Amino acid sequence: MVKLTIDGQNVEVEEGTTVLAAARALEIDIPTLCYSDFLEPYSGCRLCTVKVGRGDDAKLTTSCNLVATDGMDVVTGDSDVLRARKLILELLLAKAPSVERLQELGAEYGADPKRFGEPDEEALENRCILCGLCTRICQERVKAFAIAVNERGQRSYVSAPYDALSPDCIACGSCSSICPTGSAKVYDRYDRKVIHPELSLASNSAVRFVTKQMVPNVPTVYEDDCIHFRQSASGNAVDACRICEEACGKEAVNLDSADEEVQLDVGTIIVATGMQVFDPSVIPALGYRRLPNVITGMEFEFMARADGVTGGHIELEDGRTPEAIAIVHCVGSRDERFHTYCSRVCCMYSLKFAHLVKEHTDAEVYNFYIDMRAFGKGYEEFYKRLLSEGVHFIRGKAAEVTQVGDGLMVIAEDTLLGTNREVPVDMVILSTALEARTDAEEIRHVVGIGCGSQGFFQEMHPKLAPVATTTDGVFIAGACQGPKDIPDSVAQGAAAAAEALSLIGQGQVAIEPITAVIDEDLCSGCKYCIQNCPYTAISFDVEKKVSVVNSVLCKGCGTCVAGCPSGASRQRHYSDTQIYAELGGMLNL
Amino acid sequence: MRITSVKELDELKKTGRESLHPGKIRISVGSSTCGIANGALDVAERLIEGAEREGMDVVVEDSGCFGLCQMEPLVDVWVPGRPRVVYGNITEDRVDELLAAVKEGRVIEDWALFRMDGEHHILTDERVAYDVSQGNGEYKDVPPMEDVGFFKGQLRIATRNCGYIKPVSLQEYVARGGLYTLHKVLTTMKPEQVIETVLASGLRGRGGGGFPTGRKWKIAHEAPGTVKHIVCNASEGDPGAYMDRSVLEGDPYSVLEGMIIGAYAIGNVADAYIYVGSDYPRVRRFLLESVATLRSYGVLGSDILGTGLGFDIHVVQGAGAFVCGEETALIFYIEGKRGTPRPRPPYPAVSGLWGKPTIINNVETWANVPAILSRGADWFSSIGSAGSKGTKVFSLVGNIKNTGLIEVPMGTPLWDLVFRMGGGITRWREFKGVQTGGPSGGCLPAKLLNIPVDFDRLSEAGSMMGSGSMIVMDEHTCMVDMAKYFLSFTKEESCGKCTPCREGLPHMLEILERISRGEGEEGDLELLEDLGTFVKENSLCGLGQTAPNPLLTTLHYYREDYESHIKYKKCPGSVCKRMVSAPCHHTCPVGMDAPNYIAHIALGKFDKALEVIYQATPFPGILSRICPHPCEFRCTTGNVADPISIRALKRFVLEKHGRDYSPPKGAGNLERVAVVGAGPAGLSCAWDLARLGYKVTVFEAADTAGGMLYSGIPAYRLPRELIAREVEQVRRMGVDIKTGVKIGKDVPFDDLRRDYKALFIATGAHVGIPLNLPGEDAEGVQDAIDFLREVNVDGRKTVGKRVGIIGGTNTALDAARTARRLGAERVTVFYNRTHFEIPADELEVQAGLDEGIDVVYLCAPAKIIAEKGHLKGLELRRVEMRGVDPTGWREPVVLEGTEFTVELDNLFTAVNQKPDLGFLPDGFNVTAKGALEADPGTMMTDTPGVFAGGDVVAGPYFATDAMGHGKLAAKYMDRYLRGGDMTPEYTLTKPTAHVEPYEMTAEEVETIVDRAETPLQPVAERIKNFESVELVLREGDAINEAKRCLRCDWRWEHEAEEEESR
Repeated sequence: MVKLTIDGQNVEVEEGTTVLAAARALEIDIPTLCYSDFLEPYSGCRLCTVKVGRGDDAKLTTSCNLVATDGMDVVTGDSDVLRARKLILELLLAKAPSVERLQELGAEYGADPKRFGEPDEEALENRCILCGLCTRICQERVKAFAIAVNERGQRSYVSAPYDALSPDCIACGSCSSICPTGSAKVYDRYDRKVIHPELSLASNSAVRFVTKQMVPNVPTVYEDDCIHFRQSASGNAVDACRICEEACGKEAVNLDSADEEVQLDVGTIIVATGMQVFDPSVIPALGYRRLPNVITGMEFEFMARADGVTGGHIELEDGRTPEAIAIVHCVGSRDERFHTYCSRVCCMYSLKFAHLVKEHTDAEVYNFYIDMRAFGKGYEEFYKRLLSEGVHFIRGKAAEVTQVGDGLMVIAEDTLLGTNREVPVDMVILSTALEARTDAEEIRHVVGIGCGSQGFFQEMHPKLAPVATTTDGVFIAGACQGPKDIPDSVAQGAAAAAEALSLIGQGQVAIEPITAVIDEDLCSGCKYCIQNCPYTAISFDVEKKVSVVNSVLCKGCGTCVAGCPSGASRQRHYSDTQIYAELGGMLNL
Repeated sequence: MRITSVKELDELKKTGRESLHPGKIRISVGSSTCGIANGALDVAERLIEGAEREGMDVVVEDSGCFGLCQMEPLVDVWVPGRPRVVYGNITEDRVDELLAAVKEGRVIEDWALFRMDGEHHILTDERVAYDVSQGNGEYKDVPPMEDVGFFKGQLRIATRNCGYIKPVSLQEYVARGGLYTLHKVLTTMKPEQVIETVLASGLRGRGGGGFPTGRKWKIAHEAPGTVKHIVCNASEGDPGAYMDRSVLEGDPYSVLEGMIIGAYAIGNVADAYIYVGSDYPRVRRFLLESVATLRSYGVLGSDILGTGLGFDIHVVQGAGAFVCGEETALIFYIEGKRGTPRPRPPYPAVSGLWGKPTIINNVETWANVPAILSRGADWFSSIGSAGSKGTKVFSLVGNIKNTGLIEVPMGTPLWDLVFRMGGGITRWREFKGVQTGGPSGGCLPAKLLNIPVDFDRLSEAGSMMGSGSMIVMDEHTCMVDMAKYFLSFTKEESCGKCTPCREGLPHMLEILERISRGEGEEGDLELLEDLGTFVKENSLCGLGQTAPNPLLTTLHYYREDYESHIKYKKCPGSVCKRMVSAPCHHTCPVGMDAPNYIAHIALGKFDKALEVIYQATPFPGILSRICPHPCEFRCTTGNVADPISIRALKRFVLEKHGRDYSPPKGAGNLERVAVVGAGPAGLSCAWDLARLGYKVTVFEAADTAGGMLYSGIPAYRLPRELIAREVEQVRRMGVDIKTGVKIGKDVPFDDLRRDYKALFIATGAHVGIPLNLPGEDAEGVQDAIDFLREVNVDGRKTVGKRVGIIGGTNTALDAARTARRLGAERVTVFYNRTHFEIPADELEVQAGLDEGIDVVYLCAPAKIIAEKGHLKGLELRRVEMRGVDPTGWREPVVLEGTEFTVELDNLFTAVNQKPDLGFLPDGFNVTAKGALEADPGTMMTDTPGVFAGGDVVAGPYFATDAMGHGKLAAKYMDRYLRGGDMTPEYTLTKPTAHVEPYEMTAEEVETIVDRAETPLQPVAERIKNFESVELVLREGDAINEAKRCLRCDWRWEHEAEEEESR
């Protein structure tokens, strides 16, 4: 520990602590512009200047890089220090007079922003104060080395090498996020701003809460967005960034924790892998990803969320509030080209959107629907309420969305009036279908259950065993079984849990007495039986080159027996001889 | 061959000696960059060809630089059996003649700079005498090296081998004692002992900071770590500094040997680096070659000298950024990063290259190391001053006679560097200051010339040692411009990392630029000081912390330069283009637009030239004879050659094409105005007032108008009829000149006040100031000014045979030369300082010497010997110059017991004069020196309506200045009488007219080179009469002389146009 005095207060800090940190621990304000907790001290802006020592030996020095030593006597705000800070601010204000942070500090320290003359146009537009935070985070943390300070002296400016588009830039946005003046911005090669905090439907941060309602309510590091993982995956740099680890006071973040395989012995499995949302970009006529302000219901959800990027405001891409919004139902569902089934939830969430729009804006809302399916408790009443709120309902599927000027035009057939309608709107929300996950097939094979024609998992019986599957001990719950809303999913989940508990409660499982068995001598190894078995009970013994039946999984259905070309598969207690004998007895032959 | 023992070193030494002294003629050509720039490579080639053609058995080698860069190419000729002779300025065309002389065994004395009869090896303290058995008498006129002013007082430790050996020859390096020290250190000393020795020697870093080298080594030695590095900082970015280059080009091994010793002392050194800027390609090549050679001899690489020590040296090529000389920036650069400094601590000795303990020392520091370990700490610390031990290499550049490199013991007075080794300033100009330490250092004025040059004293003076560049500046230097230059350099070289340096320097420069454009405002200097100290105190690295030094020191020592720009719109050095137009015009007290009439002369339009001349003054003829021509001292042509003979051109055009001239007069009899005194000031004022239309009366006590022009200046300098003619011109303007009327006696002063609306007092300074020596009242002792008046006015015709004059002014010389013309046989001028300081015009002194007058310097009168009231002689004492007094003059100290006596018939004292103000009523303010006080901006005294000018205000000064006073007074008297504003106003000097420049033909450019010197009457003739000594230029010469003018006023116009178009 090191003992020092700051502004007359004695303080004890750990060895290696900087004077700046020590002062901040005492809640003494030392202004900084180029300092960041996550970067090496730069001592560039010199604003954190303090005076060390007393009398003739006193010296002005920057505190951000100054390591505290025993007996150090620091003054953070005498006239010399204030004079230096004032001049620094005056110089910086002459360079970038429009920067608000400088204006604030300037006012605080009594700096005359025009001491070095009236600012010219160039200065008024300039926001860069050359604090070097952007270049340093790019180099020290992101390790992309995409930007640096070019030229020198007063002509210094930040840019990519040779002012060219940098192949090293990974558009992570660190520079723009650390920039204290809003000078650093990231654009793509077509001069479009890439990082636009004003309007973005997804969070820019790799560490985020997907929703505020998620349980447990902790943020997650998204590897696809995370600089650390992106840089190491691309082979550019190891150990990039790691700022989240350092920033977390509880050491809760560990980027080195890797995927691992865990083997668990379980008796039951509940599959609740959910569904995915239909990607409407495969319907070009609706304009998704092609036209501005055509968004999916999910994206609208993000926008309307109070903790979302727009703070719950319904905004167009250019920041305007929309004056008319179309909600297009049945995008991808009830459609011969995509999914013939009804996705069940779209009508109701579309109604909710309409309600939200009405609540937040004065926009007109047009619902384009085939027919309204308000099936649940209280749903019909909600529909009625919306009708009274002045939401327009147009019965007819939207055929096309086109761009007209700044706005959009929805073209649909109004089947009630028997005419075509062209409705001008600012924003189109596509109520997309729910569909089976693309990886459902993979999971099906792992747990050994079946799928229906739409890709959703097949229950044992639609009425009598809605959560059981043909495989004992494997249950399904929620939207992986078929489109359903939250109450239904919750109910199914509870049911699956009850089923599983009942098995666990028994302590043991009864297996079928009648199972198939394969005569090794007769088996030719053709594997027909393996394909035929609905319970994945048959496997192939590679060494013996014969099929083997797992008698625990086998339900004795006899499919394999019937299908075996060489008659090697037989049913225990149901040999052909026995069947013939039974038949004979029954017919008194 | 690998060197592992002293035996092998001895062998190498033997071959080295044989190579140095090959038993036949060896000719070395100084081939450092300075030599090459002057054509050394061609000279060497020509020498080889020539020797072959002549069938001479000669070895021609290249060598480093002796330091006399001014004289390059230097050729060092070493004939067996004869002294070694170094010739200077051996250009290609001189080679054949030189070879012929060498072949015949002759010496060309005119070209020979010095000879060496032996040499001294610093490392071993061995004196090797050359075989000079056959060196005959022909060498006696070639001075030995030690007696040449440039080398006197030098002690060459770091540059010990430069010039003596072929730079990359290891044999020759060993022949002068190299590598023995390394062997001794590695085999007999412990690293701690080495560090102790360096500590005890008191060696401080020569890169500028002056940190004790031993202490740095100790920190690195004690720092934990199994990998350490050492670095040689050979970045040399200072304008005017090139000592590191010279050492590396002349003797790279001394640096490398120092580095190996350092690596051994610090321990665990894995790699060493030498950072060389890409501007030194030759250094880089030499280093690569030398490092490879050392490797091949087993002195680098693994198992150095068979001791097991192993490391290598890498040569890193820098891009040349000035900031890379800063050690932390240098480290980043070597690491492959942007070369910007970082805050210290941690110091590199703790955490440097790649975070490892690293020692960074400058080239010169490393070069000193072998010498210290060879000769011991005591020897080294016995050289130098209290806080700074050893020697320092300085590069002397700027407005100085001998530019070059010198190595002197620390603590040598600055004066010695500038005037002894540097040879002082050219004859046309005075010393103004010396910038030490390059753009990081400060500018020291004349009054600090006596400070001993070492780390501490320079810092105390506000400057710094820096790399050791000494930029000497003459009076044609503007301190604002100088600060501007260095600031624009540091501004350009600022890395841009920290705010104060990046933003502060450009703003400082901007303010300076405004000042130099004549747009300076009150408060600018305070703002500059504020910013300067701020940048100095708050910048991150040495660059910013020292960049304001040139500004701050000049603001401190030359504040009047800045104030003059801001307040008076005058640039004392006549440099700042926007306010100067042409320096000759700017400096002229009467505001003569000289480039204008010179241009007309060059074009042959003499009438136009006359018009320009008469615009400024009614006394052009007088000025053309006696003006001290400040214009010529500032002449732009004088920067590159001898200045234009402006005064002689004026005289030419007046005498060959002159006519009487009366400019148009202003409207009517405005008021009655009186002028007291018909000297240059009074008559000038009267003429100007008459032109404006005033009715002017001039009262003159003497019987002839002219004042001091008439009474003080001998006829051989200023013909009487010329005075009469130009006074007549004043009369023709309607001025009433009443001679023989003494105010206060013939006319009471109050009458003047009553009868005239305004007065101009210009009664001059005619009263000599006595010396206060015993016996001064003896007969024969007289003030020189009285003597001159008696001769000039009263027609005195006699003087004694032996005449002495005390003083060094022009008046002293006038008296001496007048006495000589009156028949004195032995005329002696006694002056208490040296020819450096004598105030009289150098040409006057020379003319006096030509006429047989003795000038005895360094003596002070002790007493006047008189017998019965008659002068018999003068007792004097010898004087020695010591140090510099607070006004910048070297101080004469009288030596007791050195009395000597001269017998004299007449003694004239010419020390100073003062005005006689007896006629004035009470109420006028008088200065301590007895002069009348007047506002220098308006020439008005404290009494409204009474103006004064000329010597009565300024003390004895030049007639031209007096005329300037008169003109100025006339302007403000007019304003006073019209009831105008009396606040003085100052304007920039701008060309008065646009004259096309004469374009010289290519042939003229080649042939018109030298200044046309005024022809003089032969000495034998002129000492018999009072006819003009100086004659008129011939027409052709005059026109050619006018063509030499560089027309710097043209640039002003050009720039003005450019500015407008912008």
